[in-house]
Amino acid sequence: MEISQLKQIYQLMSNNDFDEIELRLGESERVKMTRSANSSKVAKPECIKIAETNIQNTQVSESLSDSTKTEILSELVGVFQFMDEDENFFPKVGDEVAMGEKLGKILSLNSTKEVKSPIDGRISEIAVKKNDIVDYGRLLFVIEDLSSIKA
Amino acid sequence: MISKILVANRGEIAVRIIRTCKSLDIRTVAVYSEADKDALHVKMADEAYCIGPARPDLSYLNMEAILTVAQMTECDAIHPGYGFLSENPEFAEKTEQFGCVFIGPSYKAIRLLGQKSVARDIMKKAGVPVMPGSDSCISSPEEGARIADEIGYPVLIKATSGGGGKGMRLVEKPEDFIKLCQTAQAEAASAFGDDRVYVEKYMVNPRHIEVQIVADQWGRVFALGVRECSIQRRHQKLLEESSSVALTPELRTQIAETALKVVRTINNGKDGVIYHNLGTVEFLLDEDGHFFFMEMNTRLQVEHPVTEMTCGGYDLVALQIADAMKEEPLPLENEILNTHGWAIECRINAEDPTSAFVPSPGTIEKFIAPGGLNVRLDTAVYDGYKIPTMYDTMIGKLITWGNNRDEAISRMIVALDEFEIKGVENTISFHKFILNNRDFYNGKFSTAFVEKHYEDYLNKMKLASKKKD
Repeated sequence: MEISQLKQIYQLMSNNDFDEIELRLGESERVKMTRSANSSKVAKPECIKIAETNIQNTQVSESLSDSTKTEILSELVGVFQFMDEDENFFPKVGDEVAMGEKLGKILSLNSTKEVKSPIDGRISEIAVKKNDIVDYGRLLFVIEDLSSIKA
Repeated sequence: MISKILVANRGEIAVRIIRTCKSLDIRTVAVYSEADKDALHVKMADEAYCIGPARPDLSYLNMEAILTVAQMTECDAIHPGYGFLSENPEFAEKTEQFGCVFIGPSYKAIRLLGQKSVARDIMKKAGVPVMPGSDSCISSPEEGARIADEIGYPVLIKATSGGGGKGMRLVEKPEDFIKLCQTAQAEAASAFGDDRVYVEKYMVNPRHIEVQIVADQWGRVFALGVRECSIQRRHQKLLEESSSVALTPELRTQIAETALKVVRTINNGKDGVIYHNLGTVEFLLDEDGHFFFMEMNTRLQVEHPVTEMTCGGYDLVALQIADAMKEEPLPLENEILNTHGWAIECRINAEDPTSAFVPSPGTIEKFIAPGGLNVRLDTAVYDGYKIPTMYDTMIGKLITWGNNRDEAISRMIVALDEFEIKGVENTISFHKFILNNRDFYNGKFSTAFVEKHYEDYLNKMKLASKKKD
């Protein structure tokens, strides 16, 4: 793995306030990075993890320099819905979204959890359909980091 | 009609419940934590949903997540297994409110019997023998100390909402009472959110005897044999038997009748509670054959297989489901069921018995299960399975049946010899030690057995390892 890639990963950790990250690169290579916590940052969103599929081999890791993807995972078990008509948003692949923008919601027995984009980016995958039963940790969206695309 | 059940548990008990459901043609929904994604119950159920991270409070104790899955998957009923939410009246009540059947007693009965001091008072008034002690909870440590002086030391301070030895303190001298009472109260407050405690005379070297109860919604109550669970360590049972060498046939009948009386006392109460489904009435037995009501557990018990094997093959989970269907009275006739033969259960845990039973989680590298006539193994473990650190250490429950105790013991020794587990430390060697111990064989033991013989076990293990070298 190149130093520049490590720097990018570090930047990503910093943006998302991750203290530690472990990457598996194919069968033989593993990279673990730890950074000291920055108390001024907001708590890290538990639903985000770096897409492992992006960094499986050197070829793909080239794409890492073009774009970095962030997975949005379900934080609770429930029924998924995209934002309803009143909120007037039905995301499509390719849509640009701002950090904190609502993408959908998960309805459990007594509560509703909004699903928001953790970064400024572009939707590269929608892995969920309306009324899907989603369990904890299920992949919902993949967002490409806009800043890394523009860079 | 119940055609789909959510199993709100994990490990061997979830697997055991799913097996019965399959045999009854009932569909099953498993729930699991992130740590259990490779668990057997997840593979066996018709559907499975991850409900949270490994921490039990965020997954197996997460009522909202479990009820959401039950609703989404249109389950008719929830089986809570044992532990976790099985004796939580709030969960049972919420399940019912939401239109699902809770497979167990009513939430009112769970709530009533969950308050150990209340249950004790009700039984005392009804003439069921209880250990001398305080009437209900004590109002202050000083009041407790006065009662302890009256009944005589040693005494036990017990949390009314307690279980598993938490919030419990043994007090041997009057000068220690106030301090230990405050510790017990603080521990109870933190473990159960309820600091109320009561005081009971402590019986030295008792035997733990319990009666399996099955009851239906028509108020019919049955006793399915007794179990002896005196072989325990720090209130955790290690080996159980059905029946008990400590009981003459007369005493066995007396204890079973008393257990039936305990349930009838609840059914005759003013609050209209009818106790149904399974329950276990626990007693302490002294050396002179006097027994005292300790508490009633309102759920399926870990050691239920020894009852199943001595009660003509009744499947207790199937009886639970039959009761929950509320369609007809349970297919039982005799109030005290005739039992047949003898059964023993050894709980094989991933613990190191040579190092004070310290947990030994890890990956099972080799697993050769014992088998043969009248040998039963309830487990959720397989080759390559990783025992998570977050939950109990149970690998499996090995149960053998014989026409008599000798036969059951011999069969168990053979089964333990056959049983091979590599990758984690386990308690097989300790069970072999128990079964070969003369006091155990002669039935001369109490709940102090493990403490009394532990040094002997360590010495034997050292000797065996020297011989190997």
